[in-house]
Amino acid sequence: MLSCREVAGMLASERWRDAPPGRRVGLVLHLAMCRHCRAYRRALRRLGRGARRLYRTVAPDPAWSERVLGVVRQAAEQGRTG
Amino acid sequence: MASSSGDALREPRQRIASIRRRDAGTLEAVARENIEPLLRGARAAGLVGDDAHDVVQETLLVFVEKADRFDGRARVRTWLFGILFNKISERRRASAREEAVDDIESVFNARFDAAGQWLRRPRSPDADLAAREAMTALEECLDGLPARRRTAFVLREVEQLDVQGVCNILQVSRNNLGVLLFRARNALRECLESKGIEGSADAVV
Repeated sequence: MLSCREVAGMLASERWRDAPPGRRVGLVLHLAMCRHCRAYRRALRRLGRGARRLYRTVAPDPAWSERVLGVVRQAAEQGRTG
Repeated sequence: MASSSGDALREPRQRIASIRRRDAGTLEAVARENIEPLLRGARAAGLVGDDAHDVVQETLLVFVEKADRFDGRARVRTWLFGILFNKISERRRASAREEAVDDIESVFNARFDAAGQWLRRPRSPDADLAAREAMTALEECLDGLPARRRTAFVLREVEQLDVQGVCNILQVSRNNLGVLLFRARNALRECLESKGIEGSADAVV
């Protein structure tokens, strides 16, 4: 039987992805029975959703983007003929 | 713009060919699709203002210069992030700021008893981190993370790159990535809880 600490560690590190089948079954069973670990997993998911929402507000200034893309275009066209 | 098919691990073959041919239209399209994610990545790595913008432009120019060497084994976005983080670590080598020693491991362990049972139970949040004060708190907590942990977390959760792609970009083993993610997520959780964000009463048994 996996302990809560092991379960929380596997979830936060995503080591469960590489875990052998037996351990993965253990993880699923533990989560089915332990609501604290389910709460932990929910909290991790919320972190991801929160971060996505937060970082979506990081958008480049359109004028800057166009300027950079212009430089890129120029470099790409030069590379082609040069 | 809508994100391209989430977990496709490779670029379509035709597109790989156009990139390698250095087709100007394709290169520009790739740059256009990725300029925003790259800027987010630069921010995640701890760069601000002109530094973040400059490194994104440099990255795109290196991409154009080396496009004929794109091997198509990873998605072009993963490749671009690889260039970006190379550029960033070049810059860092000049002004090496060591990551603060932190004790998130012991904070994490203190939540469990000797048998590994929850001692201080995780709070079950009432709602998503949507409220403005929650977002502000999350931003502060993210800013407080050491750059590598924040970068690993953002590449996984925000850019949703696959685990192997993130390993390649950061040049770490899967084990090391696990450690970075473990520390980032637990530090964020602890930080939010300390700000009283993670909801209220956890009516445990």
